[in-house]
Amino acid sequence: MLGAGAATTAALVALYLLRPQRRRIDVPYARLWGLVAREARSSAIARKLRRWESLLLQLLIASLLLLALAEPRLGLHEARRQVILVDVSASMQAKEGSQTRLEIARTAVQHLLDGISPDDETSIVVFDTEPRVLCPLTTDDAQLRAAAARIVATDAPDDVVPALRLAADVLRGAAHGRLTLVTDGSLDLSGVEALPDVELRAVNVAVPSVDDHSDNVAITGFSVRRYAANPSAYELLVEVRSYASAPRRVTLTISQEGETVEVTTLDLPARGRVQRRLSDLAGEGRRLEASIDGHDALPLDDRAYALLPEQPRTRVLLVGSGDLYTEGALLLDRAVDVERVAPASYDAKKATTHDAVVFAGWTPPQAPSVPALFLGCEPPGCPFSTRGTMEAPIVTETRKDDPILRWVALKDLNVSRSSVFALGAGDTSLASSLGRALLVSGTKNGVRTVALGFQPQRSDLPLRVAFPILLVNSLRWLTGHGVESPDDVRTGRRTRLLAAGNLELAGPEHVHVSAHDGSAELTVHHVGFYAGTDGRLVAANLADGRESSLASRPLEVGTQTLLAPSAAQRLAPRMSPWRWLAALALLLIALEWWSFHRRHTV
Amino acid sequence: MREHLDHPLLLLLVPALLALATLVLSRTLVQASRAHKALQLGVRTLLFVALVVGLAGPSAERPPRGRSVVAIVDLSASIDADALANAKQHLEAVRAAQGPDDRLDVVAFARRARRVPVMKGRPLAWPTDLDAEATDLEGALRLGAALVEPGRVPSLLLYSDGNETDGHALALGDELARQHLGVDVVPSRRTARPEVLVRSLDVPGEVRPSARFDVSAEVETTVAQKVVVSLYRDDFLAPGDSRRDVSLPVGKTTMRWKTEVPRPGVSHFSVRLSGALQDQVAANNRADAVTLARGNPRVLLVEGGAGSPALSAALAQEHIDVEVRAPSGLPADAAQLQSYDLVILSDTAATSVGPAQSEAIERYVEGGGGFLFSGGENATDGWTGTRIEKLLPVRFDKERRHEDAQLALALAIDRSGSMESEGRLELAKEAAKGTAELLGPDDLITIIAFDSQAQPIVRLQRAANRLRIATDIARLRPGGGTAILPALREAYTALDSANAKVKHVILLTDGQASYEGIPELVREMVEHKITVSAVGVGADADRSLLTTIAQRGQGRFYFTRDADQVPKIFLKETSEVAKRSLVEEPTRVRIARAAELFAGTAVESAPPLAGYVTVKPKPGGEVLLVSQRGDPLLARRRDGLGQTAVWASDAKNRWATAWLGWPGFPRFFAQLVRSTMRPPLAGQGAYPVDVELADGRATVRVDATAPDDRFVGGLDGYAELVDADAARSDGDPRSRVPLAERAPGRYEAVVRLDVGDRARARLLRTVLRRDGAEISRSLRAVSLPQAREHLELEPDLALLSAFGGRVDPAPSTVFEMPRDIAPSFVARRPLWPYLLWAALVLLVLDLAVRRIPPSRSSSSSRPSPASRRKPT
Repeated sequence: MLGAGAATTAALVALYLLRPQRRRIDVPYARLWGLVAREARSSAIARKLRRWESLLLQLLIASLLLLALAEPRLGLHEARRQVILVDVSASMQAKEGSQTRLEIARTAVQHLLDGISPDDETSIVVFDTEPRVLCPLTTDDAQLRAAAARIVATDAPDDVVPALRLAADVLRGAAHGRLTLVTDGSLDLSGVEALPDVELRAVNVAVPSVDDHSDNVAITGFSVRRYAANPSAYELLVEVRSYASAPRRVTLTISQEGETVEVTTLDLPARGRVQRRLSDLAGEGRRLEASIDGHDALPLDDRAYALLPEQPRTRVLLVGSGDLYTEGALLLDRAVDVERVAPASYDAKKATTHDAVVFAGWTPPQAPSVPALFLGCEPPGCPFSTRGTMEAPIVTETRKDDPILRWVALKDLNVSRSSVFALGAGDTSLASSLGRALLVSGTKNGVRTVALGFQPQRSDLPLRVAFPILLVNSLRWLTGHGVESPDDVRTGRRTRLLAAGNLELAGPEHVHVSAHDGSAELTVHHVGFYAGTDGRLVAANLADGRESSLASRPLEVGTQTLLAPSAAQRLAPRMSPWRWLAALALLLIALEWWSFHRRHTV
Repeated sequence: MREHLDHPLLLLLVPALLALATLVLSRTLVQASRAHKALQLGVRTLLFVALVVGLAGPSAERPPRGRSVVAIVDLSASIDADALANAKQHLEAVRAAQGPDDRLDVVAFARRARRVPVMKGRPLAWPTDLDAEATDLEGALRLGAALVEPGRVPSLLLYSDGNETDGHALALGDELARQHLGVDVVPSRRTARPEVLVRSLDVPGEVRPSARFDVSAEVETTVAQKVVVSLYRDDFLAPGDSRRDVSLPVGKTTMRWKTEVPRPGVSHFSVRLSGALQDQVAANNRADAVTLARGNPRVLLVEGGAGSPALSAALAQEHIDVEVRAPSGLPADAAQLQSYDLVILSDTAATSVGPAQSEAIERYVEGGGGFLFSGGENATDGWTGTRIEKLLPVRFDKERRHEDAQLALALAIDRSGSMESEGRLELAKEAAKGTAELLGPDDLITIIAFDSQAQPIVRLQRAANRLRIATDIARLRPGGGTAILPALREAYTALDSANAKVKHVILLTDGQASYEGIPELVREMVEHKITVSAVGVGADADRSLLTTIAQRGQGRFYFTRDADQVPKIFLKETSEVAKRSLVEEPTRVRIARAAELFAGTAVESAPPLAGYVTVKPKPGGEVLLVSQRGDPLLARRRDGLGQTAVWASDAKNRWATAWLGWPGFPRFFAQLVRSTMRPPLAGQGAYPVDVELADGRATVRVDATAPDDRFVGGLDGYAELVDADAARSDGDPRSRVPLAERAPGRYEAVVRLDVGDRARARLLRTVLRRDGAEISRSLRAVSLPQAREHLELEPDLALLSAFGGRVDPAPSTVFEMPRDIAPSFVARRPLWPYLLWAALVLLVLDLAVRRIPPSRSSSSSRPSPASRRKPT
C-alpha cells in the first residue's frame, strides 16, 4: 500500500513537473502581442500557485482512494467474535403495530450487521425450543446478510437455555466474545446461568407490557378421546384462554373433516380460561379442527387440530351352536365383525383369518393359533389345566385392576357349576371362589387366551350388564386393540414415534424422521395435520399458554438492559468508511474535471 | 447470476456523470484538439465507471478455498483408553494431512461439549470437565455445525461409539442434511478386553408383602468367567438363595430369583457382581431397582393385662394384621416400630414400660406413626407425668374424683416369719410404697406392721411425705406369730380420729389367726365409717377369716398364691377405695363430636361399658366420645407427624364385655385403628397411573375415568418425586409438577429425574384434586434404568452411519474436496478493491493524458470554437 502510494505520488508530481503545453493563442495582429505578453507576465505567480493547487488536489484524490483501499477502521478495536441469537418462536409472529415482531427482529439484525467491523467473526443462530445455526462464524458480510434474510418464525414455543448454551460454547475462548439476543422478551431467563467473559446484549423487539396482558385469545388445549366402553362415541375437550384485560366473547367452531359439527359462543373472563367439554360425539372422519373467530395479535393459536383415534375393526370368529346371548353381546361393539360357525364346521385354519376366536360352550381339541376366548373351557382341549369342578361357586375375589374386569361386577353371580383352573406360570386368576380360579387369562402357545370356567348359559351372567363389557374387554385385551389416542404432537417438542423405518411427513412443512431401534424422534415446527408415508396422521398444536400470552417483560440480562429495536442501529455505526472515501474521491474527480475545464486548475 | 451488485441503482450515476462531463467539456476553456479532448473524456469516463461500479458493491462467486472440518471427539467413559488413543492418533494424522487452505476445529464432548483450541505444531489440550458419565452426541454435533467456516466445504468428523445417553443425535440428521453437512465417522471400538456387567434389573413396581415374586437381572460378559451374583434388599443380602456362584458363558445371561418383601413399604433391590472378576469398568457391575409393597395395615398390640383375643380377632376380621406382644416385647428402638402402622398399648401398667420403650414410641409418633392407648384396670394413673402421657390427648386424672372424698388409709401388713418366704415381705413393702405414691398429697396414710403385736411403722400422716414414708417402710423387719386383732385395733384408733371422708383399712396376711374379737371390732369400725379389705397371700392364709373381715368391713377380699400379685392388688384396692382413676359402673357412650371414624358403626347405640379409666382432656386434644358422666372415653390428637388416641375403657371382657358381642365392635376398632394409624403410603382408590421413563424424564399419565366410563375432567393436581425414606412426608412444593389435562380425563406431567437419582430409591406421587379437595393420590416406585454410559460394549454403527457420511475415512482423505459442492458453500468475493485500484491507475493515466502533449500530427486539427474565445 505504501509502495502504491509512493508510486502514485511520484507519478503525479512528475507529471506536474513536466513543462505544460503552451496554450496556443491566435493573435489577430502584432500589436496585441504586447498585451498578451504583459498579461502572461502578470499571471506567472498565479499560474505557479495554480499548478501547486492542482497537484495537491490530485494527490488528495489519490490518497482518498488509497485510504479507501486500506479499509481503515474508525472504532479501533480488536476483532470480536459475536453470536446473534434470534428468537423465532411462535410469539414472534405477533403484530406490533403494522409489523410482526419477527420483521422488526430481522431489521434489527440487519442493523446489527451494519455495525460490525470486517474482522469481526459473527454467527447467526435462531432458536425456538432448539437452536439452529443459520450462519456459522464468519467475517463474510454477504453470508451474514443472506442468513439474516432467511430468518423465519416457527410455530413452536421457545427455550432459551439450549440456545444460550450453544452460543456460550461457540464463544468460549474468544478474546472479545459478544452475545446479542434478539427476542420479544417473553423468555424466561431466570434459570440462565451467567456466561463468563461474554458481553451480553439484548434487543427487545416487543413493546414490554406493564400489566402482563395482550390482545390475544388462544386455543390452548384441544383433544379428543374415545370412550373405553363405547368406542364409537368420543369426548372432546377444548380450552380457550384470553390474555386480554377485558372480558371477551368468541365463537368457537369445531369441524370434522371440514364439516362443522359444533358452533358455540364462549364468554371469556379477563385473563382467564374456559374449558368446554363436548361428550357423546359421534361422526365419521378422523380430523377435527377447532377455531375461534375474531382478529387478535397472534392468529396462529386461533386454530387447533386433533385426531380421533382410529377404531380398529376386530374380526371375530364365534364358534358355538346358536348362542344368541353371546352373539348379541359381541355385536354391541360396532367395531367388531362377527362370523359364526357351528362347532362341527370349525376348522383351525379358518381361525387364522380372524383376529380372535370366541368358543361359546364348546372347546376344540386343540387351541387355535390366534387369541381366543373360551366361554366354558373344558378339558381335554382347554389350554388352561383344570382341577375338577365346583358346584354353585360364589365369586369371592376378583382382580379389579385387570383390564379385562374393568367395570365388570361379578358380585352375587349365580353359577350352577364351573370348572376350576389350576394356575400355571404366567396365568392370572381374574375371578375366583375362595381361592379357586373361575376366570383366567394368560399366554398359551404364544397367543393371549382368556378362559371362563362355566358356560354363560349355566349362569345368570348373560342377563347382566357385566356380560357384554366382559366380552368387549376380553376382545380388546386379546387383540391388543385399544382406543388410545394417537401421538399428541406439540410444535418444537420431540415426540417419540414407533417407526419401523425412516419416515417422511408431509403437511405444513416436510419432515424427514430417521428411525433407530424401532422408534424415531419427531419434531415439527408448524401447526396442522401431517400425513406420514406409512399412512399415519399427526396433529400438531402449539398448546402453550406461556407462548400465547405474548407478554413481554422488560428483561435484564446480567447488567445489560434490553434495548429497543431502534437502538440496535445505534449500537455501533458501521465502521467501514471505504465507501464514503471512494464517494468523496468520485466527487472530487468530478469537480476537478469542471475546474480544469474552467481553467481554475491545470 | 454469478456476479452481484449490492447497490445496482448507483450505476445510474455513470450516465449522469457522463452527461455532466460532456457538458463541461463542451464549454471548456482549455485548448486541446478534438481527439485529445475525446481521449481525456474517455479516460475520465473510465475513471467514473470504475468508481461508481466499485461503490455499487460488486461481488463475484468464489469457489470454496478448502475444507473446514470439525473433528468431534467422544471423551465419555464408555470410550476405553485404547479406543481413545486410536482416535487421537487418527486425529493427529488428519492434522498432518491438513492443507494450507483447510481449516480444522476440534470439539471434545461427553455430557458437555467444548471447543479445543487447535494451534499448529502444538498438541491438543483436552478438557477434563466434560462429565464423562454421559454422552450427548446431539449437543456435540450441534456445536460442530456452528463451528464450520463458511467459504470452505464443511464436514464433521466424529470419533465416537455412538452410544448416546442424552439427546437424540438422529433428530439433528434432517438439519445437518439441509446444511449439506456430512458426518464422517471413526467408530470407537473397545479393545477385546474382558468385561462383565449387569445390564438390567427387573423388579415389579408393586408387590404384596410376603408374597413371592420374580426378580430377574440380565448379566453380560465378554469372556466366559465365574462370578458371584448377589441380590440385595435394602443393602442386605436378600434372604434365600440370593448369592450365587455362576459360570457365565459369553453373552447375556438372565438370572432369576424368587423373593419377597416382608412388610408393606418401599424396598430397594440391587444386583451386584463380585468375585475375581475379569472386568474393566466397575460402574456397571451393579443395577438398582425399587418396589413398593402394599398390604394390610400392621398393628403392634401390646397387651399388659390378661390377654384377650377379642381385639386382635376383630382387627384381623377387618383386614388389619395384628402382632400381639407382652409389654416386655415392646421394642426399645423406634426403627423397629417403623414396620408397624400403629402401636396399641392395651391395659398396660406404667411400670412395665421402660424409659427406652417410651422414648421409642415417642420417636415413632413424631415420625408419623400412630399410637392408641387403650385403658384397663392396669392402665391407671400410674402413667401420670410419663413420656407416654405427654403424647396423649388426655392426662390421667390425679385429682380427687369426688371432692369430698379425702382418704385416710391404713395398711396392716403381716410381718410374721412366714412372710419371709418367697420374698413376700419385700413385695408387701413395695406394694405399700406404691400405695403411698398412688395417694393424693392430702390423703392420709398409716402403716401398721404386725406379728404377735401391732406396731405402727408409719404414723398417720399426709401422703405428701413420700420420702419419709418410704424410709419408714424400709425399716419393716420380719418378726414372729400372727395376731390380727391388735393390728386392726391400732388401725381403728389411728383412723377414727382422722379427719377424712373415706377411711379404709387394707389387711395383708399369709397365716392363720384367732377369730376372737375381730368380727365385733370390724362391725364397730364400720359404724365409724371405716371399711376394711383383706388380702390373703399364700396357701396358708385363712381365707374364711379374711372373707369374714372383708364382708363385715364392706371391703373386698383378695386371695393370691403368688406374692407377685400383691403390689397390683394393693394398687387396685387403693384405686377402688379412692374412686379416683377408675370408674366401674355401667355407662353408655355418647358422641361428643361426630367423626368419620364412627361412620357405619352406630356407636351411640352400642351396649354399655362396665367401666373406664378417668382422664381429662388436654388442650389440643379432641374428645370424640364421652361417658354418661361426661368423662372422655375416646380422644385423639396430632403429635408431630403422627396421631395418638386414647380409648379410656378397655377392649376385652372386663369393661367391654357387652361390646364383644356387639356387631359393631370389629368395625369400630378397625376404623379407630385406620384413622389413627400412619396414613397408607399409596392412596386408596387412586386413578391408574402410567409412567414412562425416557431421557432422564418421567412422563406421568393419570387416567381419570369414572366407573360409568365418563372421563373425569376439571381436576388439578401435581406429580412429584419423593425420597423413599421420606415417603410419608410431602416433597418440596417447588418440585411439584402440575398435572395438566391433556385429553379428556387424562392428566399429564413430565417430571425431570436427576442424574443422582439413579442409585436412590425414588417414589413418584400423584395427587389430583377437585376444588381443593383431594380425590386421588397414588404412589409408585420409580426405578431408573441403569446408567447407560457403561452398558453398551459395541459401537452403534447403525446410528453412526445414519448421517450418511463415510465410516473410517483414511486421514489423508478427510480434507479431499468432494466432487459435488453444494451451492451454499460458494462464497462471494467483493470486487470493489480491484475497481478502486483501477481507478487509481486511471487517475494517473488521466493526468498523463492531460499533461503529456499529443504529437503534432494529432494536434493539427482545427481549434475548438471555445478556444477562439477571448480569455477572461
